[in-house]
Amino acid sequence: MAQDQIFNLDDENGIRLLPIAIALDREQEIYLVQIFEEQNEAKKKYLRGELILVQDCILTSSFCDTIHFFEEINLFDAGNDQNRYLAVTEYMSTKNLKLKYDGSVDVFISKALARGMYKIFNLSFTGYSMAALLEREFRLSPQILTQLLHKFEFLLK
Amino acid sequence: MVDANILFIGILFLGGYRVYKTFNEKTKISEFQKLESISRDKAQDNKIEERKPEPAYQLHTHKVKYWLYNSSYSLRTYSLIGLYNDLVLKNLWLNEPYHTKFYEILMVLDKNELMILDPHSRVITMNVRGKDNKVSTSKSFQVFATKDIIEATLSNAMSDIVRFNHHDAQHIVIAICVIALEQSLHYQSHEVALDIVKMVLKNYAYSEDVCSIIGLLKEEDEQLKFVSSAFKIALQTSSTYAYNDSEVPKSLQLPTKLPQKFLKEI
Repeated sequence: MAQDQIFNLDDENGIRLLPIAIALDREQEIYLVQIFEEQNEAKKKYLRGELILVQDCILTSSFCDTIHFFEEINLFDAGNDQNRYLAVTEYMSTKNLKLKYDGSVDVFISKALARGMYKIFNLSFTGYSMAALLEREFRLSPQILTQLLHKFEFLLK
Repeated sequence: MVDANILFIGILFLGGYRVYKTFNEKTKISEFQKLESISRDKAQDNKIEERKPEPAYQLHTHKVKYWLYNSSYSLRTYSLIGLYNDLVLKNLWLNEPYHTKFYEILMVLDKNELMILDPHSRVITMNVRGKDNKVSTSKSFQVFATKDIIEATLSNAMSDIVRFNHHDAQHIVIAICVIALEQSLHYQSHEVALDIVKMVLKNYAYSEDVCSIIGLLKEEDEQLKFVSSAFKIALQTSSTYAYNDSEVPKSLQLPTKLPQKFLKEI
């Protein structure tokens, strides 16, 4: 059990990191969790990680996986069985995406919702340099991610 | 005839004189006795006054030694040492088997990282890509440390516990520990915590009394309502910890042998 109560998620250079959740769909609780690096002295803020949180499940933990998830959303019904995160379903000749995950609630994404989510995802990068995220992405371990979520009260109902 | 009269008067006179003399003597003796007793009393009074007061010796209560466990040596957690001092030393609850049983519980709490699931916690499933690029799935949630909860509950309820006679109070203390242990997890395993409960109640002379108090606590008896409110306050005030089940579980450590008691001044 993690007994260290005072906890700050620091990267290898001792820079403090913090997570911020951006709502993609509040109805079905789909969030994009961005991990930032804050440099107060230089007044700079860099993106260091991107996660997808759906209901009570962290779906992707690295930027690479998150981009793949959003490209599946972008393709929508053009995607196929090879999709890793979303399955194309058809009901009454309406196509939807169904999330492949171990959660208790089924998550369906309609075409409009998919377009909205993709738009928010693109908007979330405005004003940030992508270089830090691509070159120096912070690699999370389950323990560090748990402590980070605990510290910023993501583990509370 | 005249002679006889004279003789009679003479006898009377003599008799009267004797009576008078003896009476006089008696009064003199009683007066003398009185004087003597007064003088004796006076002498006694003088003696009492003269006698020196006996010196009052100080009671050397600070030099009394008790058989105690060396809590600062065998327990690593500071809060548990405090609990031993508060519950055993301050109340002088040194009677057996309570003393040893309570110390055994403290040692179990000290050696194992038992935890109670926070009722307000979400259980988050995490798919995290590790350094080997493999995705591992684990569960994360928020927990309380059982030792924190026991310590907080006992210190919240202490003022109410000491109102009972010391036998009942000790049973209530053990019962609170057992209830907290029953709710505990040890690396997501409920059964191991139940093993500890069995170990606590086994070989304890008053385990029936403790069980009946546990029953009363679960039924929320009117007299023992303070325990459940103390427990609720403990849950609200204790700090929470993060737990992830991908950690490698350590095996449960039960004390096989208790440390030796030694004589110590309090």
